[in-house]
Amino acid sequence: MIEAVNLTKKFDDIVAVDHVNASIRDGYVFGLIGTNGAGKSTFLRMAAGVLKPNEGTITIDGMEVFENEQAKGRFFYISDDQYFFSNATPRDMMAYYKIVYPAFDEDRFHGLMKNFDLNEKRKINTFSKGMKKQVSVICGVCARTDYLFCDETFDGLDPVMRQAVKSIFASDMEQRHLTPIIASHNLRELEDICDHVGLLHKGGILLSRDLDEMKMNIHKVQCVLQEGMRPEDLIGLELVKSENRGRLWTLTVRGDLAAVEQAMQIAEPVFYETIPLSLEEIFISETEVVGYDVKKLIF
Amino acid sequence: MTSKNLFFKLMKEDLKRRLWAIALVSLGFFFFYPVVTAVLAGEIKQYVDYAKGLKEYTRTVTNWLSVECGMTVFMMMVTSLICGLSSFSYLNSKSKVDFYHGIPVRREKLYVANFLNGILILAVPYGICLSVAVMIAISNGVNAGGLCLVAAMAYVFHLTYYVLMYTVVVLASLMTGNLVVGFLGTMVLTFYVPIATALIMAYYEVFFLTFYDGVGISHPLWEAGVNFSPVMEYIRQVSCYMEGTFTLAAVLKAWAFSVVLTALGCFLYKKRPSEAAGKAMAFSVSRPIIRILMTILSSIGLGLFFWGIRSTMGWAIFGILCGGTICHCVMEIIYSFDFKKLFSCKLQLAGCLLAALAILTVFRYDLFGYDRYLPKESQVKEAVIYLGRLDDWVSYGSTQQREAGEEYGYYWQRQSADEYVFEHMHYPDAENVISLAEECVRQTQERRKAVDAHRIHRWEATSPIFEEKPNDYWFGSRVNICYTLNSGKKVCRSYYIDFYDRMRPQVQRMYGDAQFQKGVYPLMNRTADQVEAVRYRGEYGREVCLNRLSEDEKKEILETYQQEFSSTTIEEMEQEAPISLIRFTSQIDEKAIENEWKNEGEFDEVKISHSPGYEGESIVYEYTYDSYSRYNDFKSVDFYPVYPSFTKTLAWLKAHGIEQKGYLDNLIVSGIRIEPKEKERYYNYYYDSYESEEQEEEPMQYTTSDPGEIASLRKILASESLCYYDSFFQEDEVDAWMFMPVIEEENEEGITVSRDGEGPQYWNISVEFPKGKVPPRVWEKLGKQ
Repeated sequence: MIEAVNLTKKFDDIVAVDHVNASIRDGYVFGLIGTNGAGKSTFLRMAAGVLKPNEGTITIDGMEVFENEQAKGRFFYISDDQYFFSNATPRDMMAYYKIVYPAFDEDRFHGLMKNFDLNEKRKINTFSKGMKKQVSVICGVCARTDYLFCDETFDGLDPVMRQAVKSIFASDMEQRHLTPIIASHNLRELEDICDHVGLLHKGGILLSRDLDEMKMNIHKVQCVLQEGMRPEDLIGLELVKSENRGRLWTLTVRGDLAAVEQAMQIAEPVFYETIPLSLEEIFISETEVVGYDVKKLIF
Repeated sequence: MTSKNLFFKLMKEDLKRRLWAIALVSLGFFFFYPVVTAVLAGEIKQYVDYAKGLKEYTRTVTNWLSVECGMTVFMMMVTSLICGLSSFSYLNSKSKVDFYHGIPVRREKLYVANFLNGILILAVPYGICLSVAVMIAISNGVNAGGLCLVAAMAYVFHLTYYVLMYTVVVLASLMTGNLVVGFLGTMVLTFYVPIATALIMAYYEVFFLTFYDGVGISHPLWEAGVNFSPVMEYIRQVSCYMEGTFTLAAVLKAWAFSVVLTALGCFLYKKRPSEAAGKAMAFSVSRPIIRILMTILSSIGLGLFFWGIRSTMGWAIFGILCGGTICHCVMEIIYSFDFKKLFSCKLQLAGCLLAALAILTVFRYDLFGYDRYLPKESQVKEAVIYLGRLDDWVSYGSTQQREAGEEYGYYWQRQSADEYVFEHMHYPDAENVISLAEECVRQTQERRKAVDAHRIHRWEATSPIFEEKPNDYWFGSRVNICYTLNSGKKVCRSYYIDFYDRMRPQVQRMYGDAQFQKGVYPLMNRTADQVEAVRYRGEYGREVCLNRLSEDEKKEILETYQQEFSSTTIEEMEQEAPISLIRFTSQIDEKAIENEWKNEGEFDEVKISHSPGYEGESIVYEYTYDSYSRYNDFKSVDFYPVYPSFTKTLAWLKAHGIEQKGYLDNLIVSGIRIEPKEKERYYNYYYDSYESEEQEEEPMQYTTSDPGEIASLRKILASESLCYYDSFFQEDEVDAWMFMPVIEEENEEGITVSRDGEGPQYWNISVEFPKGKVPPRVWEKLGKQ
């Protein structure tokens, strides 16, 4: 488990990460979201031991990461602008990673390169941005580390490749309990892969929740209520937000799905249906609760 | 084991990344050593005499592959810069830092791997190319043993200083986050202290009248400054090697520094924040330090520049303000890459300017009394005193064989008088030293008043008489005093003074002291076992060499002369003029002269004769010389004067077949010309038809060709070239020349005077009248009332 306690990083007068506390459980995908400058990359660079925190600690299974070979051997870090040696081919990079990651799976590397239709002998500097990202991810998963830190890795991948990468992650999570930690400013990218998300804003963490928990606990209900009835009149519903177009109400309610449906049935509306919220909508709701207009934070 | 493997694998991978540097260095050394050695080998064939060609080739190749090859020094400097900056260039890029610091490798491991590669990139190609060059040279007939030794020494030497310079470049690279700033940082680390030292010394030189700048020997301040620059130290050690003063300790010192700096580099690497990539300075703490140091240096530098132009405080202050402000702003732009930040540290700028102004004030007004320094008598353990212009005739140095071999001859390795005196003098008479120094300080304060009153440079006011004759440029004598205090500390001052008038008692006392004499005259430290022969110049143009003396004879004549010379007082030297010159030569001196005689034909005639009363042979050299101690001619140096009062010496010489007559007696003199000193004219031409000079044009001149008068004047006249060897000889207020006809050939009538169209040709020599010895009739002719 990766644990950040009061993690703080300052660049001169700028506080990039401000007393962040977070726990990242093993075997789940952790999504780190936030706007540009929110501190996602800084958090990941501290987690990767590149930056030394000014305050607080970040540990992997209790081991400080900074300058700890053992701890650093547990993860592979893909930065937002991953470096490849000049004039290097994917094979050259593999050779280097094999030296520093003893468990590097060379066979799998060749296999994945083939599957992704990437030429191992071609110079990486002739690759497109997306292809470079693919090489990074392939190297990352083949390093067979427990954690994979991805900073904006999905940015630049086409939907097909994104799905392919997600399936590799899923496979590795299942087979060897890989824990990907993915930083992105794009909620839609993380929606179908993350188990847990942390929202960073201005260096601080606004919330950190299980996605399922959030999804199970908040719902969107579209309904047409009886004449003269208003959403506030619905008994047993913890109403977060309501909007209407004519008589069609869109309600965001908190609570167990069964309880929500039971409450709706009791109210005998003309029509109702429950719709799952997108990650984006969940965040809008959750952050509004704590007083933020998330549209300004993320979109 | 795994860790060790990882380390070497990291090194290997890093080398793959730096193939360009390996290729560049290899190519450079390939052309520089094997190719040059092979090209030079072709020159052997150009010689008709193969042995001579081979010898020349050996000499050239040996020089090329040795420590003293200047091009190798240059190569080392450039390569250290390239390798130092490239070893850790990845630290300047965020993506590279993320990559290297994100992998599970400890930073010190990365540091050491990259650091060592920077050395290997030079060491291996250099070693291989040097070895190939040596093999090429050996295959062309060069002696293997000697060349291998020379090349091995050069390899160790150059590698030592390469590592030192490389380490400094690495430090600069680690302290900065940008390649250009890294280069500038290297320049700062390499040259800041020597430049600051030179500037401070310039302040001492310009503002203090008594600053001793170490003429002949390096000033301790400068020596200390050089220690802080690997490049300067490298050059210094190459010079030491060439001079033969290089020691193993210097190499060990360089390695010790390299190790310390490497450890410091490792520490900095670990502490260096990864976010420093791309910034000017990696460590925020070093930003103000470097800025302040640079600002103060620039301030005082430009302040001195403007003082040099106008010599007023106003311009000096203007220079300080300009220099400091410009430098501060440039530093801020470099730091922040932002013009808006020019004055973001106004307080620091103000502080720097104030500090520079304070430095200027301290020097300008001598607030700490540098020029007034006088230790207490009880504080002085001993002193070194160098009285400039008094003993100019003394030769300091030694004969050296040229490194290429005996057939390439010998040369006189001159040592400066200062250097010799400072090495050999241990004058213990503190009372006399302080008494001398007090007068020096007093005169210096008068000079300072003149400097201040007339707004002139120190070198424009060298004497108190400046005030009396403001248009005169009086060149006084230099007195350097270096006190060794009881604490062991050495304090040196240099005075320009007029010491004859006011310091005679002190100088007299000094010249009577054996320790002083040993410090000034190398002969006084010589022992009989160092003497190979005695050479004597008792007649103009004739030198006799006694080179078959027994050890006892050598001891006897050396000690006799030393005793008589040391007991000669200033009064005696003032009254007597030397009558001849004597030299006690060493074995190498004799070899050098013999070599010159045999190979160069330098002497007009060489006779080997048996002198009456002397069982050995004496060699008589007859050749043209002017008797002056020509500082770079080993045949004419190291002679000492013999006075008529040196009766024991003269008696010993007589006993060995050398009877002293008049030094100028063998000259056929046709005329004598005398002029008052005010009308001093110099006759630099060897041939001169003195009779063609119209006396009407030079009324203050007296020329005689009357044999009777010439004979009477010759009894009084002394050779100027001999008087040169008497520091205290007092000549009269006239200049005089003897004119001798040029002898071209002998015919049945005896001597033939050559004629060239209009008249006879003559050569002349300068002669002197002792003070008060100019006959009254001559003064009358010169128009003196």
